[in-house]
Amino acid sequence: MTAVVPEGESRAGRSPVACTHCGAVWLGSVDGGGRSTCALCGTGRLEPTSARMEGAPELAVPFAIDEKEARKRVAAYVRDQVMPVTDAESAPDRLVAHYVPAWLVDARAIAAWEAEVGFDYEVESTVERLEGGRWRSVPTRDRRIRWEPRAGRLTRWFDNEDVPALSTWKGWREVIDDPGRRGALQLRDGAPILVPDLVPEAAWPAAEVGLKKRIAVDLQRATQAQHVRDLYLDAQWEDLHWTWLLFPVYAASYTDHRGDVRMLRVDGISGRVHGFVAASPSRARFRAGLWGSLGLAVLGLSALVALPGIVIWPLLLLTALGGVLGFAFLVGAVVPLLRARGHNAGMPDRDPVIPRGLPAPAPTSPP
Amino acid sequence: MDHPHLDRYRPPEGFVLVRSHLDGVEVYAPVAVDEVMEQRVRCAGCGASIAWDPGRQALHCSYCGTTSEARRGRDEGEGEFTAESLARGARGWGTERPELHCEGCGAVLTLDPGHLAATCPFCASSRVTVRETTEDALRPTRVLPFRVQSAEAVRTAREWLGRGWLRPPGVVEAAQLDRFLGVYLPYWVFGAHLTCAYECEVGTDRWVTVRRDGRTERQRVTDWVWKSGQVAFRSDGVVVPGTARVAGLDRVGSFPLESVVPYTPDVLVGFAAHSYDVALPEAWDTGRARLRSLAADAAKSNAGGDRQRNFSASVDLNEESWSYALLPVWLSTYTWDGRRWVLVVNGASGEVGGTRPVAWSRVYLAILALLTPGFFTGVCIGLPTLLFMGFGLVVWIFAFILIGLGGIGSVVLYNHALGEERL
Repeated sequence: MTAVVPEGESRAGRSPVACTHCGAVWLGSVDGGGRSTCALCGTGRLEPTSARMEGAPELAVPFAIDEKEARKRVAAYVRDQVMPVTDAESAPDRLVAHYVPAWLVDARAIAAWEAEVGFDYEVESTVERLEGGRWRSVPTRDRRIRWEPRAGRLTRWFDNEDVPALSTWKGWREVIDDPGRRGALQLRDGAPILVPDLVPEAAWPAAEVGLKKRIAVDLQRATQAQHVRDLYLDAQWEDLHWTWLLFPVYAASYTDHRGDVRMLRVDGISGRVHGFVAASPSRARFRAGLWGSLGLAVLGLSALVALPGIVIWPLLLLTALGGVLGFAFLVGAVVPLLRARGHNAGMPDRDPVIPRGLPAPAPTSPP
Repeated sequence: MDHPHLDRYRPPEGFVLVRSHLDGVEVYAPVAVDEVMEQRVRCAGCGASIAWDPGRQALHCSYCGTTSEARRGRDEGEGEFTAESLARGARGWGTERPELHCEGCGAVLTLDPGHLAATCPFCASSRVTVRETTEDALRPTRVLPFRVQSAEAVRTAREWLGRGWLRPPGVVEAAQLDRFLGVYLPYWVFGAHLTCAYECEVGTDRWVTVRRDGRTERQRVTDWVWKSGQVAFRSDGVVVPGTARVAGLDRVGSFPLESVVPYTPDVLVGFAAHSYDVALPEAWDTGRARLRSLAADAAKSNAGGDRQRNFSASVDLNEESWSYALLPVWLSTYTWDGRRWVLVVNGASGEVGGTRPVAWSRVYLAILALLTPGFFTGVCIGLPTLLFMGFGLVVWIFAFILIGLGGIGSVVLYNHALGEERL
């Protein structure tokens, strides 16, 4: 049942807050410190609001790595990048833990069904070889599927079907490695929970697809077949129950060379870091200058050595070697510039987990 | 399943409730058709015996003239070579048919319920017993109904038996050919998609002019090149007899397999049917050998050239299929000179095969006649002319040629006569 949670009221020990920049709605706390910054965009402040929401958190995947470990991983990740911008190095200091929701749908299916079920079987075949004027049979076995029609009725209860609760779930799937672990609702203190922006009505098509797949698996078991295809269902869904499953994520922000705030995210289960670290053009220029100066210096030295080389001819060889080396340094000086440019060309225009055109924050008082 | 949404549910037609291995799920499956057709041996009009009439291609009552169409059998399609196919296949004849067991040759023959047989059509033995059909044999999937009537079979068999000067006088009359029995014999029909990869040396002939000992002569030279390739095609209709008890089946020509119909017991009414005694795997060995020969022939044809050598090939068989067909023959055995002879008439084409006695006295007379000119020329003309005139050597050579020709003719005649008597 969709309900409006008024400003100041709490769910799971948290009250609704909204980001002043991206409009994302959280269940969190406004403590006035660093945690009051939105963990989704890393820019806006979280202000108390009222929010429409269906269900409540029921299950949570526990954090498998602590904050200290997450910081180390972010730091290592930044270090491995191409000439990272300076601010990215301090991103670990801005690490915050939060939860990302998915729907868990429970439903009872009452359906008439028709399908083709497939049974694996093997056929014996042969390859005949004519060698030395005599035929030799080499037996082989092929696996085939025998399809047979089936029909019937079913009444089955399905619980905890995972369904996206966020319109940007595709982006989140790149961050979250879901190992299928589920745990009781033991939330980390202060970690805000992102509120679903997909209402059950909008999430239902995806839920129905998932539930139908589970029905197909059940039919496979019921008929003892190995495959099911062309499943037709005349289904009625009853006792629908929507709850939240929370995935743990760490987020850290940094400001890139253009002044835009970008996010690095750590999967709270696997510890894998995800996000784009921009290359610093100033660092690239510095390295280019260094290599260029070195090249010029080597060229200058070579020219100096060339003068006595008129008398001591082996020195001319050293001059030639120095000339080649100096020229190589000069050419190589362009490399850092090109690398940084090439790396930043792959910078995504927008964060895939931030919805386009988020609705404005809900009014602070119930309608 | 008490729920208003499911109250009006009806399973599709022909589906029955089967076991479900999961609570809350009902499963309906198509009825496994193992049709047991009621045998039609009585006329619906008058109650007299009816039989399949090859002329009308229908069941016919010779008493009141009522004709009824044969019921169409279910098309079982072709079988695959699965481990389960034999175990899962429909079994029995799909109707009640007593079996005749011959204690003489071991043949098993199914009969109409009202059919009384006292002799075995394969060996003419009277040591036969009639039992209930065992249901452990596969049911035929195809049948080629009789087209040749009994009278026609008798007529053609009479003609065949009386044909030629080698036949002993009176054999046609003594043979009692009215005892022909229409029997459906078992055949395995195989098919497969064949892919044959081959490699061989292909020779192309050319003629060159060479000088040898001061003379010019033309000589054939063959240029050999290695060639490899692949041919792929589907071959159906490789027929292997399902019985080894009836000899001479290869002499009755081929059966028009395009006219086979799905098996229905109706076309068996009035006829006997022989169960297979060559099992599927055994027959498949023969069928596979024929299929690979077909593939090798196609590959050789594809390779081309005037001649080939060092031919090697690999034939991949796919989508192998088999069907168990009943093909019609008229069978008769008769006794002559203390021996049993077999007559087989193709029930679809009327071609006759079998064994027939030979008047060996005529054969020996013929051999004598073939050899006599040579001996006569050599002894009566060659010897005097050699002794008294000096050119007898030429006559002797001519006599030897005549003896040689007579000898060849004698061997051919003798083998032909033997072949007439043996299968």
